[in-house]
Amino acid sequence: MWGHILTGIINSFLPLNFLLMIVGLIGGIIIGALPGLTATMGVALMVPVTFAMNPISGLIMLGAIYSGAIYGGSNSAVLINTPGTPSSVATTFDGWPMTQKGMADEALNTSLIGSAFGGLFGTLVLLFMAAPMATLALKFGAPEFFWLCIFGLSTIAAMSQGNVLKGLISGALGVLISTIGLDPMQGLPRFTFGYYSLVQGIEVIPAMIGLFSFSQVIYLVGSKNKYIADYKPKKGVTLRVLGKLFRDCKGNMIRSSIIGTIVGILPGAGGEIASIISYNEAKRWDRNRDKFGTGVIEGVCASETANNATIGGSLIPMLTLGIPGSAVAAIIMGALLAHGIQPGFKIFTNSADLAYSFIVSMLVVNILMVVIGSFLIKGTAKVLNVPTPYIGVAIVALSVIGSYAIRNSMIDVIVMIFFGLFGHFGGRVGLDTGSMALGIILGPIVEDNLGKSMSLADAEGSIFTVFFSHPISLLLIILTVTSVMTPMFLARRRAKKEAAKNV
Amino acid sequence: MSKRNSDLIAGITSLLIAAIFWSQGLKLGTESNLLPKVLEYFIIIAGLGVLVRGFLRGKDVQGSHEEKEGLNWTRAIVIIIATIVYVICIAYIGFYVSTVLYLLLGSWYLNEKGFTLSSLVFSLVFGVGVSGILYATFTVFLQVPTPTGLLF
Repeated sequence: MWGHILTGIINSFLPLNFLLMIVGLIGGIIIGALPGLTATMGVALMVPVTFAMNPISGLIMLGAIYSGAIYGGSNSAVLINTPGTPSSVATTFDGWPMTQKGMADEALNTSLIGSAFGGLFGTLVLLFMAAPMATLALKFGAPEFFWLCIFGLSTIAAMSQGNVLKGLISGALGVLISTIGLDPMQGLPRFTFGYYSLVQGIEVIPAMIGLFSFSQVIYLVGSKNKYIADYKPKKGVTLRVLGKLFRDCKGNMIRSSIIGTIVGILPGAGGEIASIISYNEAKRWDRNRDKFGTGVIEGVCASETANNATIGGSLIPMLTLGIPGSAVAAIIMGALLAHGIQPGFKIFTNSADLAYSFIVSMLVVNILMVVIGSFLIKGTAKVLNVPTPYIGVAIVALSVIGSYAIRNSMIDVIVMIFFGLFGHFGGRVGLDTGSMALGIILGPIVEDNLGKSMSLADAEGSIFTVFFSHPISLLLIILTVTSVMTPMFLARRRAKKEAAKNV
Repeated sequence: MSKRNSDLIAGITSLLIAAIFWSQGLKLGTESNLLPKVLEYFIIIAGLGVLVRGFLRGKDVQGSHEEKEGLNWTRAIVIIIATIVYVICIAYIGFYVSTVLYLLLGSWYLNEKGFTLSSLVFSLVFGVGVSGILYATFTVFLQVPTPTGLLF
């Protein structure tokens, strides 16, 4: 194994491969930062280009694009409150407030270092623990997925402290809206309101762009602020953030990396679920949990560490079992097959040089990302120096093209505008856009797995056995109950303390 | 906005949305409508809870801080209408021409200097420049299709 790792190191530092890593990373970061362009789209666009290369070089470039795009999504999430990819939704919860507080540099560097750490962690697990972790993926059936998503939805209780009822309504509205389109069980159209285009359902990305971006533009152009936020570049911020993260957020980073890697391994679950769960857990375990959502480094760190850790995780079942853990992993698997390489355990013996070179290159890519990312941050942060009237209308144009690009459909642009208006006016009456976004993202997975579990229950003759008897399901149920009850318990304890003080 | 009004509006909106989905789901089978029905019940119960809370609240409880900061509603509504017109125009005259016009007129209206010739020239340069960057990025480099119309 160590001989193959050494070969991987040599291959990674060959001039052509190293150049491809740099190009892939920069391209990936730009694609990820542009709303509407996802990591899946970026990798898919570049697959044909890799056919002209040798398989090792091609895989190295695809891996670099994948890592760059997942990290890149945080840039627009932090700077303009627009998640570049669905994985960055949770990054907006604290990243955008940090920008508004004049801490854009800190937020961007936190997401960069967190992403690199998560990426490195996930890749190291892929390198040294691929086989035992792959068996975990096989233990997750529909009921376990259902409970995993319910656990993700329990974040709403923690997110909307002080207004839990409206938070829950927003989440439920999100899930309800996600049921528009074809019913996953019978394939029948639902809630199309007479518009055939809605049979395709509501795409997550245009809805996110509307909820977070267009709704914010309405506020920005109507406010008296000359700029989105006060921004003055600070020197040495990368090292300062690095020091703070490794001093104060070690536990957060390790926990988020573990969550990200495990969620990444599960086919169908990706960065969006991992980042939401990690954010919730970071908040639950933090002493200053009330500060989450107001612009704290810990929130950005949790979300970004987890979503990049899913990359290594998603490659584990793809390389060991031939089951891709994410859409991007599926495309990379397609590229492998096109080169005549069959994924599965034998890849580590039959094509060991290729497998280990790819994995080692992912380690190098994550280290390189810190260097390249810190240079790019200096440029991207300048967007905050553009006066509000100009940046406001430019964000709208970008939102329109980003929404359209998903399916080449104008209905997605209309969806974006609708959610923007709903997000803005709903926000003014306390309906929470973050909770609604969670509902829209997790809703289809909840329904899909609920349907499959119900079919299983029909076959086994017991709903109880299917939903409540598997150890992983029970663990997730306990975690969900704890997640919902903790904020309520803490709020009650705080109220008692305050009442005692006032006596 | 007072907390009372915000609760009343949020409650009525939730009930309204649940009612729309309820009426749309009347013809659906049990399996197709299982999750939506559960959600509709939940939204109706929670929406009623928020509505009752709103009725019980005093009238003078202040709500969100955004209201205190002051939002220029004229500018906000103009940009909402301009964006809707922009999206309609895209379908007829294409993305890039509509974008140049939207960026030009939108930034000219919103900028602090008012409707001066110099600000118009600046907005024109801005509109053409940003559209050019979008064209280079999406159409030339990434080859992502954009909506086309009569002009471009």
